[in-house]
Amino acid sequence: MKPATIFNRWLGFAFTRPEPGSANWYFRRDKLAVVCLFAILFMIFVALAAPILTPYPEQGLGDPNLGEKFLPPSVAHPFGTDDLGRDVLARVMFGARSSLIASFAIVSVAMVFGSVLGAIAGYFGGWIDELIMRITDIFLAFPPLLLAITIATVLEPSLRNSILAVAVTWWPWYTRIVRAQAVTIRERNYVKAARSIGVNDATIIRRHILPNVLGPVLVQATLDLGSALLTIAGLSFLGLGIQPPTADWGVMVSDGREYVQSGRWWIGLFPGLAIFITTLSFNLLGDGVQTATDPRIRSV
Amino acid sequence: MFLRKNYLFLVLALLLGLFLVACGGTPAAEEPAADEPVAEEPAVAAEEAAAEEAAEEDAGPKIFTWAEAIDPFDIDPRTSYDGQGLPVLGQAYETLTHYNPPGSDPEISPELALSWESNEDGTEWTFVLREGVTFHDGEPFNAAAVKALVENVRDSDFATSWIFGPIAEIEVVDDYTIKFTNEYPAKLDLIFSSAFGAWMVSPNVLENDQAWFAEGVTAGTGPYMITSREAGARIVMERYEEYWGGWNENKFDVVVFEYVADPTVREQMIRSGDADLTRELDFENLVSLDEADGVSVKVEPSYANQFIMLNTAKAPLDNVLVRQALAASYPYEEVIANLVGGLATPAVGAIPQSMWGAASEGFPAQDMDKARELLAEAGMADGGFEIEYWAYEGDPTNEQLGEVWVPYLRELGITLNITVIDFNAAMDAFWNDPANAHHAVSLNWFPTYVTPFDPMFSPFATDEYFNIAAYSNLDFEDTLFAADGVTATDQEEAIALFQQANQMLIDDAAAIFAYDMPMVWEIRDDLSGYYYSPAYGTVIQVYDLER
Amino acid sequence: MSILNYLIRRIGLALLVILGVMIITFFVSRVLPADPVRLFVGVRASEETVEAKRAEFGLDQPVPVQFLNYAGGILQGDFGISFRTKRPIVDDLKIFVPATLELVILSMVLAIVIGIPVGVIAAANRGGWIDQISRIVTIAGVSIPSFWLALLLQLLFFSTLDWLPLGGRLSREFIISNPIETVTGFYVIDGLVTGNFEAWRNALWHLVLPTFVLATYPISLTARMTRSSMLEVMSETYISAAQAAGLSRREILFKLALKNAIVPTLTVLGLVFAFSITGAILVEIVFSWPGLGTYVTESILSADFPVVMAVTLIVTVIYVAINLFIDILQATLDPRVRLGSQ
Repeated sequence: MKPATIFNRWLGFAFTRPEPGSANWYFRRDKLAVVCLFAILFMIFVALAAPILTPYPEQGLGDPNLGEKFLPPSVAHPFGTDDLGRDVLARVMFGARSSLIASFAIVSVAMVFGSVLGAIAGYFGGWIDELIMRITDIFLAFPPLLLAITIATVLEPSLRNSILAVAVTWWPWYTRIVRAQAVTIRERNYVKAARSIGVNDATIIRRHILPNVLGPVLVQATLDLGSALLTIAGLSFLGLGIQPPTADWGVMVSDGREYVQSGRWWIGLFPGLAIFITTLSFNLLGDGVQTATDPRIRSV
Repeated sequence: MFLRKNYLFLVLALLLGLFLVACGGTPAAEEPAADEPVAEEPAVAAEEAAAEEAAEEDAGPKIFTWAEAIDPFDIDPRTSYDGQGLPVLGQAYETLTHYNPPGSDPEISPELALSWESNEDGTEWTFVLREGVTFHDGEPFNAAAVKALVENVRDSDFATSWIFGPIAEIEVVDDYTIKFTNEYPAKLDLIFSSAFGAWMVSPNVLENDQAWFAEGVTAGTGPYMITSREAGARIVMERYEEYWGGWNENKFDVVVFEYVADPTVREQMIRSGDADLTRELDFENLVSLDEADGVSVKVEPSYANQFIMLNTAKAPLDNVLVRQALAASYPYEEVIANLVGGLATPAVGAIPQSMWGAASEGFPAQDMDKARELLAEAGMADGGFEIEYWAYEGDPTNEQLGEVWVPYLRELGITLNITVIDFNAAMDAFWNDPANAHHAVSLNWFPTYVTPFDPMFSPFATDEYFNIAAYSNLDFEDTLFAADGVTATDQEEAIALFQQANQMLIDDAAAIFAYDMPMVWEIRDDLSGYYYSPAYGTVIQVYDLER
Repeated sequence: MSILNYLIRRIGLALLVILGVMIITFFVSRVLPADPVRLFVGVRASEETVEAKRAEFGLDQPVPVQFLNYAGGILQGDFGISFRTKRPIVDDLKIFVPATLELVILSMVLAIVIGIPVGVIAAANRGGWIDQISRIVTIAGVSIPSFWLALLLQLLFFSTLDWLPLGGRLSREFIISNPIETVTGFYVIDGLVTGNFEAWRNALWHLVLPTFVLATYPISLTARMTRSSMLEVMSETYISAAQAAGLSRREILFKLALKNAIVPTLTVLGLVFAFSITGAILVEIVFSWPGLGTYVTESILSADFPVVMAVTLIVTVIYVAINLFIDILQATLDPRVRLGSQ
């Protein structure tokens, strides 16, 4: 399935007037979720436009400004400055980049890898199914953050490696969802027909299985963005993620912790708040999407 | 469509408004409120708690808690060669002589040796030992014990064995008199004051190895002996009843080392009185700590300095021009003025200013034009390479030293990547494959004993363990040994040679010599008897302290 | 499928999973580091020492043999030796596992005691203001970074109010002069059993903040899951029938609906455990709690692979065991689980 098709679907979802009773219609009635959607768009905007929005772009990127160390919040520095005199607001804005990139990357990698495996397992069945699903079980048996920590320990600390480490713990969930769907789709007549006229398996999976599982997978992906962000922030907090001087919220909270007792609370407070608000927005959005698409639990 | 557009605009405007309110509103309201209680209230409370505790403890044993970052890897007094082992060794072991703080007269005073004398050229030394001293295992301390220890260390492959290198023959004159004959002149009274390798150990345990000591055994003559050790958590030492210095009721019965890697937690411990002594806290918090009730911050001179080792085994740093360019680009002045709590002082090469033999001119300064010229000369006018900088976990200063450098290197077209790494892991990685390790790594050095030889030999001589610059220059080593050889007889000549060797290090840019370090202790202010001699790096003798 | 068949299949699967986890941890700790023996003896050791150690650890044997030795060792409770402390890892685990489980179990208890009622009440008031508030609060609960929440609470309850201790499991005066004797390793139990009530109170005091922080996520998750299971159950016809039959609201909710919703909610507890025990890693650091989290992070920093892998393995085994227990419990409570599992 082409990325463009997915994109068009999303666009359609956002810009057509929803049928009353459709998932889209339910979603739009959930004002809180809509606000969260905009909050996330706003965060993305901030991350992209950070160099224009802040008067201190070079500090956001990491350059010290030693003359202005530990300034408390003021008009010039609304979130104060840190141990190297950098504007904390600028750091928080630039930190949005790695956090957002990481959460989207984790979910995308896990989604693509997990879905393809799940489709293969569900479509072929038999020993292939058994093998894939047992491997999936093994990965599901690891508590998520722990496996990520284990992998990140072995790899050199960097943003890419920490994304990989988390994604490795994430894909089995998608494999399960997609497999369950693929098993039923496999039995549909048009799939049987395609097979009987000799369309090869890869094409059937691509054309018929994957597009049909897209809905539940995307809902799951939206739900996962928040936890992905929390996990990656946890890894950075432990020093296993992105390395200084690149701004990162988890690292900033960890650094800020050192200065809380000497009264410089702002260094760790604001980046933590940014993690909280972004995760909260992701989760409320995911909850809204899930509720809207699941007739059993949506409110009347 | 019209409606929806408005809606979108509304939400964006609302969000923006909220954001601006959050930015403008909160700080002014919260700043004064949050600043004061954090700094002062806990301290007051802590004082009360400490008073209560003191009252409670009148009945039980008096406990001294020392919060350290890292559980020592090695507490074998002969082989231990780092700042983590010293605090423990300093309570349990003693040296023959003691090196006093700078400016004292005499420089060296008696400890387990009462007096000593040497011949004119420093090749024959006789020490008279203190009588009535016993080791923790009951063994008497005497000349035979000293001989056994010195031979054991000298003939071993311990990293510390070089300190007894000059000693050729040892003669036990009588139980409390011992005579040394040197192969070449050496100041043995100075060497026997060493903080590493010269601790007196019971002859009964010399055949044991590091692992045996690591179980938590001590066999020295010092005031405290280890009674239990929980790896990674704590070492408990109790007083040695037979200690020759004697005991009174104000001294501490028990010394507990609590190992807490997190500087934040150690800071909390000293603020709340849960710890009586700690070190290696963030320099930026010192002012606030000193103002806090119950805590006193002691800033001491030290023989320590801060290097940024440049790995000569890793391209493009194998090119001396590149290394010189890096050294020229380092923001020395900015770092000294703004980091390390303003406590660092400029350094010339590896010899700290507080030590004899230091050069009084030639302080480094940042020179970006020179850096550009050198790079051009090396054929890298536009930079175009990356540098891996390693900072050790647990000391935020290491990280900052790299971060302040980043913008200047960027000007030269060089990217600096910082990795925060555990010290031992970093050493392992380097020794596994130097060409695949760091380009630059911060190294905080303090000397074995007070000689310029040490900060140049251990970190810069070929294949020495701490030579993580992979530097190798035989001329330099010859000069260094020549200087060491005349130290006992002709100090002026020695100084000239040491400075010559030092200049070679600077010219070869084996390291960036960032600054000289102060030693900082955080101690509860109701303790009396505080004494510190910088020659012993990370040792405070708890025996001196009273409450 | 009969219950016996289901049991055999389910236990077989659990064993398979543990074998898989062992393969992964073995691979990471033995095969990935360039030379584990070098890491152990240090770079200054001579070649002979290295070779002697290599033979001692059996690392000179082919990889499959090494794996069998490793697996055999673990079955006998031998997790190898820590590079950092040079002690048998199992000795360290004996201290750290109970400390972590104490936190985790308490937070799971809170999750059940608080989370389930909140979920039921929210479901009963579906769409109402109680439901809305609980939705926001519980979603906030799963969104707040635990390490940051811990920091905020320390700032409030220790630095500002000075009501609660900052961290650790026991105050220093108790550790040195009046420690809690180890019976089970759980201070909450040991303090009572040994009659050391003063130290016991002190231990409880130390538990408050870490438990609360750790429990935030599980409580919220349980409440949310309970709510959605309840909604599903309540949409079934027998509830309407019960309403029609005139059963009280309370009876319908807590007796009829909750009873049926409890089976899917049990699944959540497995998840809750997983999140608590990994969440404990971050929470323990901030509260300097001497448990697995502190142990494993210090080991991470010093590249002490055997410890990291041992902790991964042991946590995973506990997790698998709990899931197994829950699955079996569910299967006994609800035959559909067994049938549906194929």
